Amino acid sequence: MLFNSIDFAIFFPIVFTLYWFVVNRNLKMQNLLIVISSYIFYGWWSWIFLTLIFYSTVIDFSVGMALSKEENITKRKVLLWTSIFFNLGFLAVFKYYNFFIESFTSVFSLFGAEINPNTLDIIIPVGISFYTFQTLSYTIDSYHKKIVPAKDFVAFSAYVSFFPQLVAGPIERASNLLPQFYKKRVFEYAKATDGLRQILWGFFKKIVIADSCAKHVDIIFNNSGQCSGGTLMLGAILFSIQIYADFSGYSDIAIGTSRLLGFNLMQNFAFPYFSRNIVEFWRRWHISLSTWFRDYLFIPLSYNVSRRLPKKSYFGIKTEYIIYIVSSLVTFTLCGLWHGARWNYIFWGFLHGTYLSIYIFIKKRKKVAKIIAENKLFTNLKNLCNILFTFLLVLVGWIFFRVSTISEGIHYVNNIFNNNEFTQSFFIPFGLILLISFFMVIEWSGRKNAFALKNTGIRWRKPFRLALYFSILFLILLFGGERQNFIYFQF
Amino acid sequence: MKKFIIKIFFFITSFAAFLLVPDFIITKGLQKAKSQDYKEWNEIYSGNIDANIVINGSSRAWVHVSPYILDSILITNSYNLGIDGYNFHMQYCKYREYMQFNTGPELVIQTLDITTLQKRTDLYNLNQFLPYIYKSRIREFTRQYKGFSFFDYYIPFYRYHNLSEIINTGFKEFFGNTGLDNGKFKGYLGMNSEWNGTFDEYKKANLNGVKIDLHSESIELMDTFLSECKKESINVILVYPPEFIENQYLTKNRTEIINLYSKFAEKYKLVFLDYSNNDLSYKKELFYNSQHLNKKGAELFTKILADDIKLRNINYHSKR
Repeated sequence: MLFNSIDFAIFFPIVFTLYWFVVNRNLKMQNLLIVISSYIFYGWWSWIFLTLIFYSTVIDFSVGMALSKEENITKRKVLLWTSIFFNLGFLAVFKYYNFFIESFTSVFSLFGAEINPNTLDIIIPVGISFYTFQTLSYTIDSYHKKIVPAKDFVAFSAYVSFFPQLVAGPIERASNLLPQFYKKRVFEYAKATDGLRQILWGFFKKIVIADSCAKHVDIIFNNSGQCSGGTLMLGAILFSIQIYADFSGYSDIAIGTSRLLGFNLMQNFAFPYFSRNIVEFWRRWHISLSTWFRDYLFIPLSYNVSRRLPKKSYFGIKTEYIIYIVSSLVTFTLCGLWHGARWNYIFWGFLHGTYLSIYIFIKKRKKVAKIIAENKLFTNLKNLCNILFTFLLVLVGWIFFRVSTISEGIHYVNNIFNNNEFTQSFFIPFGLILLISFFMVIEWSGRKNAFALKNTGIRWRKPFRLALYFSILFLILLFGGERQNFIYFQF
Repeated sequence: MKKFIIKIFFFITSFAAFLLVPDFIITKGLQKAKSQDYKEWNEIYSGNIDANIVINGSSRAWVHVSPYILDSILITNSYNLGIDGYNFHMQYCKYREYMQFNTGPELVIQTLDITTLQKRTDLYNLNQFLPYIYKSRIREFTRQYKGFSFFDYYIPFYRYHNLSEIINTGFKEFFGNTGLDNGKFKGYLGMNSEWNGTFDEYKKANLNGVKIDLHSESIELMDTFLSECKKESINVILVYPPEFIENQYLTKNRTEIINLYSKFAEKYKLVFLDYSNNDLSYKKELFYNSQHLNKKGAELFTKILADDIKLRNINYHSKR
């Protein structure tokens, strides 16, 4: 079920009513309702793939239970690897099997060996990467005794399948979300209205901004061979806006929906395009994924690499830089692979790993203020230049993210510089420029908050505040209807 | 919670009230428009047509029968109600809307084709109904097709979402005049087109012929229509305009369908003019596809039809 569908507009009020008015006195029933609703929500796409979620739930719950009783380190490791094997196994079969088979075949064919690959004719289950990573974090944290493993199967099932964030995150940690299923949820007016505002802003981002940009992005990227450099640049900028509005819009709707049910999910985006350097960008973009990779891959990997490099420097380079560079490149390359089984995603990840390595090597670790231009209307010129430069780096990455192959991406970037003129053949409607400007102004003015609309207009007089909300809602209605999928569903 | 529910209720209600404003502007604007298919619907609802002869049917009515030629030969006032892409079910709806807002005609020329008594499932070109969705008959008939959702009918403005061109037209027409016109004259538009080859593909794909499934409710509706016309003392002639001869061989149950039309004519003592074997049906250069004559063909056909009406002394003169 899509958030931006009539189905969800009917589904959620029913769940909300049952949740707060029918089963509100019984925690177990509330959790059970969440599980059932989540399975319906997911089953709307495919009932068959519900079995994967169910298996994943059963395996991780059983492993967690066993870990809670087991103190023997070897047996604990076996349990941990059992969970990793099954979870990554599902992911490997459904998402990566064909990619690896085809890649191996290509490599062998370079040496003249003809192999007919046995690829699988399967579709990728929606959101498999998201819920797999969520359950993995549970088992790993249980293994490290950072959390107490769940004893309540219904609560654990609700944690794994919680519908607002099931298919596209935020990828929640058990330490944050699981305990919320153990406590009775109390309806809070302020939290609920805040959730509604966040949902409103999320829909605006998705339906008005992202989907409007998507139409132009598709035209430019599908005809990139015939476009001038200026048009290609425009296409890349619009795609950068699209992917941010699309994905952060989904996160806003997910977080807002959860708040209406009394849950607090982690912030997933913190105005990433206002970042002053690439490190800051990754602290602000897809936070739940970047922190996942930081905690479960980057830090353990850095630790392991550091154990193997006892000297203070190698080839005149400080060991700490080598550790950082190796860990960054590996982590971000795998982050690229997480996004999809295609070489362009891997290249995109590698590119970001390279950016970070270079940045750290040149600039060292330089701390920047958490909120840019705090208590000021505008930022200074230096910050502005840094923001634009960071955006440019990210934009190059997005080109490789959007195309299908690395060579296509190189060709696209090449063409931007080969014919740097705007032609008459393509233009963005003035209305879209206005909408993007409005969007950016609200984002900039609300950059101190968890989401841009949180406090915007909150102190205005009621008619003005209502006018703002009505205008946003009206735009959503005006632009809605095409039911475009969220980009991150495919991951 | 109570406070939250009350506030949500008031928010939604006031937003729905707010939506009435753009809905009103766009709807009223479109009800003035002469572009797309709005012109004919608006002429119907203005109630100023009051034609002596009404041509009813599908696209085979609106591209085949020229009121200009009928008027000049028969010295009368005719109007073409042809509705593109629809079978008799929706043709009947348009006819009844005409009857509700205009004085009834003396004569109805009901054009027929091989699919008249089928019923499509989707609401083709549904934008034409947008400004009239509140009218009970339009609502009742459009509901019988896949097209509009529950929200389109009950939430103001919702049906216009994502239709920027139509919204633009509505606003412009409300505050002024776009000057756009669909170019039809009394519902008719001759097509200056050459043979487009769609039939050739259709023929290749259906070498063994095609059987037309008839829709029993549409057959009943045709019967109702004819009996209503009889009660209202409106003459009806059934007309089967020329159809490209090669296509006629491809319809397996064509004879059965033509016989059905003949039975209707027999039952209600109507004239049935079947031009399937007219010379025009053999001249490919007069068609742009197997079902539709081009402008030259349509004008030749209208002359023949007008002469036949004259010859048979069918009453079409207004007593008004």
